[in-house]
Amino acid sequence: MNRDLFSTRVLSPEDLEENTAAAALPLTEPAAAAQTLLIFQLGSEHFGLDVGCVERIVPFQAPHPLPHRSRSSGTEIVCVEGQIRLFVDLRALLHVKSSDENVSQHERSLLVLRFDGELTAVAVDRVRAVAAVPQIHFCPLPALNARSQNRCTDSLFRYSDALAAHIDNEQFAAALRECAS
Amino acid sequence: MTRTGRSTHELSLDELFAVEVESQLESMSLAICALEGDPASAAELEKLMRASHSLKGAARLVERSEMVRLMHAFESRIVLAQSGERPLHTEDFAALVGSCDWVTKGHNLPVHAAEGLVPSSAALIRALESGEPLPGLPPPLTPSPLVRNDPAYLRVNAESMNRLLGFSGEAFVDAAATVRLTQRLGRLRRNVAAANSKTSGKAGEIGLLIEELYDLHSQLEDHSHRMLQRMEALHQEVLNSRMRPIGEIRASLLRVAHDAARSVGKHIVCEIRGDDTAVDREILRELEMPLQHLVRNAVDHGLESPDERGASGKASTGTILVEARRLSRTLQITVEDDGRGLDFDRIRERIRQQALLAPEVLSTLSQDELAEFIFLPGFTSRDEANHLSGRGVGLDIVQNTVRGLHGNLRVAGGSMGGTLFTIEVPLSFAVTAALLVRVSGHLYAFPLTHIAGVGSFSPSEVIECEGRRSATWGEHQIGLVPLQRAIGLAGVPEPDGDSIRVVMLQGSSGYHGIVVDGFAGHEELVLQQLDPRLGRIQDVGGAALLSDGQIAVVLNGDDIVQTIERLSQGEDVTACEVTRKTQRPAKRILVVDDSLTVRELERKILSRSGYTVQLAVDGAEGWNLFSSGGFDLLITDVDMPRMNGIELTRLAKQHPRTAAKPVIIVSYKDREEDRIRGLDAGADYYLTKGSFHDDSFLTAVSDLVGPAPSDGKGRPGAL
Repeated sequence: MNRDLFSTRVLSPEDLEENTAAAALPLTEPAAAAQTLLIFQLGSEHFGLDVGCVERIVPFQAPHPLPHRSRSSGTEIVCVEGQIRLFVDLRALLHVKSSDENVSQHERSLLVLRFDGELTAVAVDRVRAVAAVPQIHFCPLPALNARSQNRCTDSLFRYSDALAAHIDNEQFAAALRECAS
Repeated sequence: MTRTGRSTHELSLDELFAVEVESQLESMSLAICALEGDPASAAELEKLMRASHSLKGAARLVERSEMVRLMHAFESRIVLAQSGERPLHTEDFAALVGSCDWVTKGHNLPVHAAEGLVPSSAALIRALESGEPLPGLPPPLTPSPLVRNDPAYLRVNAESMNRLLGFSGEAFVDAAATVRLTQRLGRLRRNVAAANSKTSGKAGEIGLLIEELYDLHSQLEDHSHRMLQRMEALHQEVLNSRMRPIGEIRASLLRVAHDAARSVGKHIVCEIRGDDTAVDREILRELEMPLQHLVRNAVDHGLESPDERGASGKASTGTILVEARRLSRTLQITVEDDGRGLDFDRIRERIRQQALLAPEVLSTLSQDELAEFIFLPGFTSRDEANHLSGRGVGLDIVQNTVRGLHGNLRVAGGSMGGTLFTIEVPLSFAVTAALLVRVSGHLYAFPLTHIAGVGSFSPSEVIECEGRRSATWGEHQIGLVPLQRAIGLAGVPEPDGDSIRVVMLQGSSGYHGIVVDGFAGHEELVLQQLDPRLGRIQDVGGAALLSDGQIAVVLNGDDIVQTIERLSQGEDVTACEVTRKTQRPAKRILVVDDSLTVRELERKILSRSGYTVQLAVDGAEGWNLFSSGGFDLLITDVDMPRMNGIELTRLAKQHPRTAAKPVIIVSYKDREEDRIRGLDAGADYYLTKGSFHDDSFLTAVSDLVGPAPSDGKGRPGAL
């Protein structure tokens, strides 16, 4: 398996795209009890998202607000490789506070996600890696967090020296759907 | 649904028949083609027999006796072939094809045979009955006798054509992007050369690299410019291939005019100008029926009888002028007559008789406002219907069709003394000519069809009154509303310079000014629909990618006019004398109705009574708004596109967020079973539209949400 998958360095969108494709390939060895996640940062918080739902990683483009919508639902539109795509504000969805940290536009990326055949773009501050995280490393979120408004994350795992929240595919897809409509 | 997007119950008998003819002819054409290969095919003979039988029945209903006779002979011939008594031979196909052409020609559909070669019905009937070849006709063409055998024409699948258009548009954008990248490379080359000139070491090596870079840049520059030019030409050609001249519907309009005139005993001259004006074939197809209706309307309603004309000193022959012209990047078609013009007293009387407005409200309406009522479903100024009109069905459909084309329809007095209907639509569905404006750092586009003008005002020209601004534009005093506010965006106007840039739109109550940060030119935009998950977004018509890769949100002209009118009326710019007093918050009411006139009428009644009103044009939009919360009451019509009022009511009563909110259904349907259906769905009141006349509408509203905050504000006469 590509060692870069376990790398902790910040990857460029191009590297990530290559690694995403590699990680999405069927394993030749019997699958270990691990989940391959795309690990990214929003502000100082880390998240892990099932790499299978990541269609593309492209350089960040500023989204365009939609009349009557963007302020209330955080839905906008964005140009991804010549196509106009629905853009959802991931910070609002994951209840991540705006950070004071100055993230350069160069580091930001757009993830194009596919759920139920529908493509949605979201912006992340940094894409960190694609990593296979053993199931035993996941620990359920504390009850306090589980009751919080953020229904999209269900467990925590350690990534490098940080704690990352695991995004539950089903809940996340439902939240995206709700946001869009 | 028909190809016009209307449900069949909205069509007149003649229109239904035309739809049926087109559909049956298509089945017959396909069956004849198949039978040429296998004349004994039982399945194809059955299809042909069934289609001709249906056509005969339909023709009988609309009293087309000649077509009935021809289809009867046609059907009989097929029955003989089915029984094996007289199998089809090569010479029979000329009569079968000829019969289809005869029907086609009679319905102004594209005739597949050469014009002069369509035989008479009598000759066709003889040929079908006797089996003898048609005199003077060439044998039918194979393999497809119904396809024009002209090498200048090629049948192309419409979907494929649309995809081709999409690809060519995207390729054009990509080519423009390549040019920009090349320009960046050129800048890089110059910077490297400049940096190199400042260094002394390795100058030779870097110099060689710069030479190579220079060469590469030159080649790429040539190549990308050639590519851009070709892509532009390709895209233009694809667009052109969709354009058809207005003259293609000339025959159909003339026929409608003369048929209508003959049937009501009027003498007319119908003149059609601007035949060569080209328009997207989809738009032309959609416009044909509305134009036919306007022409029929002009004959029946607009022009007087020969006696009346004589008595008023006019020539006994009335004139109808249909004129198409290209205005900038929009198509304008006018239908004008030299008849009596709109009878405003009669319209006022009918409004009173149909109890559409309270008398004190009615007396305050201007002529423009009265004219709007002729587009109301079910509204007619006639006492009795005839076979052409008078049922109040038609002009509302014309208006809906034009609005569906992102266009607008206006009525006014014409220069010939009669009535002038003006339709303005984009020249193409695929491409929208639009003015680009900048707001809060983003681009928005106004379709040119809806722009009355643009202007720049110095701050001293803008009058500020109670925090609301207005300015004088020509002879008009116009209220100014920032676009940010109109479309619910964050931020405040940040003008590019010292001037205040304004886009003028014309609404039913006059001109309105929308303040933008700056103008960014005008472009022909390839319109893309937004992700369907977003549903319909108020004020948005779609989005477009510009050649530099930026996105522009294209605004919906009709929606934005209504939004601005709502804002202007809610915050009357001239109302300096409005007293500031503490009031409890106004109740928010959502009105859902697909009729512009009804919607506006309800809004005016409610807002003048002190309620805050928001509008939705159909059930789906209504649900999107209502479910977002913040409303105290839902008022809905029943028959609406996308989601009807019964479904909307049911949904509202089932959803936890809205279940407790009251619902009033207001409909023209006044049968007991309709009322029960509405109440069963969960409505708290079921009112008919006559309730606008008395107090029952406002009483019901007040009963459900309480009285308006300030009774003093409810000035019924001040609509």
